[in-house]
Amino acid sequence: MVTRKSFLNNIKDLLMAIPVAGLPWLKNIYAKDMVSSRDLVVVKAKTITDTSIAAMVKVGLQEMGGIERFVKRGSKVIIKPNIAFNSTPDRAHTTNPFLVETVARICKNAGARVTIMDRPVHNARLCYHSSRIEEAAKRAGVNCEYMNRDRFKTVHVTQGLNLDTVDVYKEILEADCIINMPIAKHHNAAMLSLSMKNLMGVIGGNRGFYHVNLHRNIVDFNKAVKVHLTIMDGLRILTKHGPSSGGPEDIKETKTIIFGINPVMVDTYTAHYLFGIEPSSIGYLSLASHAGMGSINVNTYSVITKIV
Amino acid sequence: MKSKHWSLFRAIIQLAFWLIFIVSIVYLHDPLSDVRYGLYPSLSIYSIFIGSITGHTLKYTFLGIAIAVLTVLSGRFFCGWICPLGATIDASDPVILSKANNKQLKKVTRIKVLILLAALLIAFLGFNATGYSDPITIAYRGYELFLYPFISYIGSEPLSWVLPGYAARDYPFYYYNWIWPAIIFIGILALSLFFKRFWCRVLCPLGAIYALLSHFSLLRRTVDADKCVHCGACVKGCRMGAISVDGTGTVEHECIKCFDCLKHCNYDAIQFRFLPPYKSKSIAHPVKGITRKDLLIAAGSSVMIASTRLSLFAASHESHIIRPPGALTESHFLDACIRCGQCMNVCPTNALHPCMIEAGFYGMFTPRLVSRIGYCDFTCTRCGTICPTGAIQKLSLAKKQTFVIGTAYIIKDLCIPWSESTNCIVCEEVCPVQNKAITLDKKVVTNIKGEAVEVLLPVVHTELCIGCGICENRCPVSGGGAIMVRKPKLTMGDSYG
Repeated sequence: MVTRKSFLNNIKDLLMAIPVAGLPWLKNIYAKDMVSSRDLVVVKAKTITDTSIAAMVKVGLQEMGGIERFVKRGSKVIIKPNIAFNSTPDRAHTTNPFLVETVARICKNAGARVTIMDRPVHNARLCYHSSRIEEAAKRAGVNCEYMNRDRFKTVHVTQGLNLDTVDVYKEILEADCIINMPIAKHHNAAMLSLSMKNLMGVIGGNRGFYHVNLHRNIVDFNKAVKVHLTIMDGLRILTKHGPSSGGPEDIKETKTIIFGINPVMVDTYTAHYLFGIEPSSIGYLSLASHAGMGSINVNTYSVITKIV
Repeated sequence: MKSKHWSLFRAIIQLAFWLIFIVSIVYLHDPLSDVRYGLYPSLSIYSIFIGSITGHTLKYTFLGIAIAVLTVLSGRFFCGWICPLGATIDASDPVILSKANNKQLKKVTRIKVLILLAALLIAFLGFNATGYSDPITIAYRGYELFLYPFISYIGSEPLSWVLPGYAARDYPFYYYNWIWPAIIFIGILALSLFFKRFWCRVLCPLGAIYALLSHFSLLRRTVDADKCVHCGACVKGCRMGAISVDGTGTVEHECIKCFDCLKHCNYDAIQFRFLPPYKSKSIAHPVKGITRKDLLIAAGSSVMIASTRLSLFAASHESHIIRPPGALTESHFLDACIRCGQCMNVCPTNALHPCMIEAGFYGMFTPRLVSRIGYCDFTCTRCGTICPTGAIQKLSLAKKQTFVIGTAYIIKDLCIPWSESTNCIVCEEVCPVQNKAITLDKKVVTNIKGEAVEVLLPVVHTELCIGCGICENRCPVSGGGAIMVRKPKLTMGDSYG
């Protein structure tokens, strides 16, 4: 159906198309310095405090080649934490707000325009508030935006396992750099909710619908959306009753942050070392490795581990 | 202040009260707002009277009583200065081109007193008629359930520039059955087609109370006989028809102290002064023209209306309707609720909606939880906190999280894992109860092709389920969903119906 909004958007897209036609060429130039020397950087700490988190992020980004490798001056960065549920940070359903704040601040100091956003399961305003992410964004001095349901754009999935098209949030498609910041937690349907599952938060449409054939859909989302950097919050992980329940006895303090570019590798490592789960038993990981999105053999990775 | 300016001053105050009313609705709709400020229902002494008769007192009663005391002192100022419905009627007058009727309507203005009488009578029979007749609740429903969703839908972009987090509201939010409050609201505005302030002069029972009180009020309109030339300018301009044809006499109980006559008078003949009632006599009294026949009609119709509270006519006693957490048992709930609709406005997930007649005639405009549109948030106690009458009890968060409003039942013929042997698990994922009221049974079943497959089958633990309805809300099965929240199977109802 052609609504007023979509009509205007079409006209805007038409006008935009002229400068955008030059973009793929520019992208190739950027892609050259995206070459990765090591797959993962794992940073561990003895205790979880605000200062130790800041130090962990600093060390981790340094080992990844510095934030300048991902964030250019004046570029548009979107940080996508997990803010899916209306619960406080101590329940380990949402990404640690201080971690988000630290990363946002570093990106901002690198000269980027930073926006934090997610599409929560519960009411967005409540989720942003109780997860303290909104507060953290305010402290870091960056934008924290709600997703508007009118601004999803349908994109084609090349060789999708289950889906031909998905609706992706427009700003995600337009951003120069997307930093995915999931929290590692147990998930009853997907076994583990990690960085690949976290991308469901930029996808529009009926969430429930995607939970049928979930594993195939997760792989398709990752085909549709390119993430430039993944920072896994493995500070306190939920090992049971996930993703939106569970008491303090289900939470394990693993005090780890994992940095990586390939989300499949980050997830494989997290599943193997933090949860002790064989990665090939997780549906979406084995499907992704079959689709050639990354190896799920942990032994082949080049990993550097730092302890702060 | 010059006497001509009083009318403008009054209009500014009226606008200010109207703005407070509007802003409070928009503010309270924000999920992070402080819900203690739902003050407007308590401004109505009518709600307070009926509430005290039916046994459910309002919060902040002092507000209504203060206004009643001020009315005795300075007349029926509430209608012209504070009342949100009165302000809306005044504002819509230029739109619908209504004209003032400057005749003193001796016959029809008694109707509002009869309505008040009937409402008090049926209150003694246990029926709370506030929701059907109180102007503040009518205005509340008109703005909250009809105008605000409507305006926020067509104006979502400009509103998002002004209001924080606007896009995040579960918009386009709307209310099931919104058309009925809208018809009543617009209908009352349209009554002004007959003449200005038709509702206030003829029907409003709150206006009737203030009319009765202000008959003895001290603030009176006096006309200087030396200056008055009987030009009739004030008579024509009076929206309440409270001035006699020659311009000198006043119907005190109809005068809403809008001070328009000061503005219209070119001879400075009119003054408002504090005088004892015997010094300036009102030319009519509020109960004038009420006959024995009227009383009999009022009494008879009140018995008929009150009878709809009986289980014979009420669908309510064993109804399937899910009430918000903390609601009293059904019959007490209906008696206590004044249908102001604030619970629906403050609900962060747009889960509460007004009933039409699904809870019986008596249950009209009471809140119900429609899980397919919104769910009851696990960490929210807003509806109980704002409820002005305690129809929805204020619950602590810990208590709310165990308060059972219903139980989820899986419809196995529709459920995807049960009927098609494919994993789905959405209901289990969203269940907020600590140890999950919905769990997944891993079973090997034979699917329709005859293959043995391993499926996770959802099952509800009815002893843990609190009926928040998020499972029904998020169920991907189109239409009504494959899981539904109903009243718990076995409960001791409040009667045997």
